Amino acid sequence: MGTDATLAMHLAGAPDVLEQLNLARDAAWQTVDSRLLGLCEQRIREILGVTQESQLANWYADASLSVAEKACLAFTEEYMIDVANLTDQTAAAVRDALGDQATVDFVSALLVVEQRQRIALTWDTVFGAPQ
Amino acid sequence: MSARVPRIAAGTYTAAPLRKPLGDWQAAVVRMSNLDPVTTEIIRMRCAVYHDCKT
Repeated sequence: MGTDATLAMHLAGAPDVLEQLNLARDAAWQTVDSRLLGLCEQRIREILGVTQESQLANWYADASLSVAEKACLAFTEEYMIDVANLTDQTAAAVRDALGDQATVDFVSALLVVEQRQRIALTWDTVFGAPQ
Repeated sequence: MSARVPRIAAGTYTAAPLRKPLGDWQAAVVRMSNLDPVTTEIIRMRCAVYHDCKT
């Protein structure tokens, strides 16, 4: 079972909230390049320990990743660990790679993806994962 | 506190197809009433500090 199952189970009593959460998820993936957002979601899962895989632990040395992807992965790591102290340089690297509009869209989509993972992880930890 | 320098051009907002559902989701959460108001506010304030939120 995964994130979707956990969210669906715990929000079964609040179907309007679940519906809006899923609509936000769908919109995030439709708005932002899915490879880019997928890489960042994978890194989020690795940082939170949701997955035992560490495909992106050495992303900075991966020549197959683009400048934009690396900028967004660096942003994601700072966002996850200490969002209030995310540096101007890290934000500027994303903006330089994506442009203003796509940067704002990326950050909003990252919020959606990160919230889902954190909420599900919290519920799985406190109540146990759905079987 | 040091002055903030905008990181994004003024007037740039999340694209409408994402902005609306994101706002609707947040509104749906706010409408929930399972948690008492005092606890809700304490959590809101803690989140605002953690996120360095100015709103």
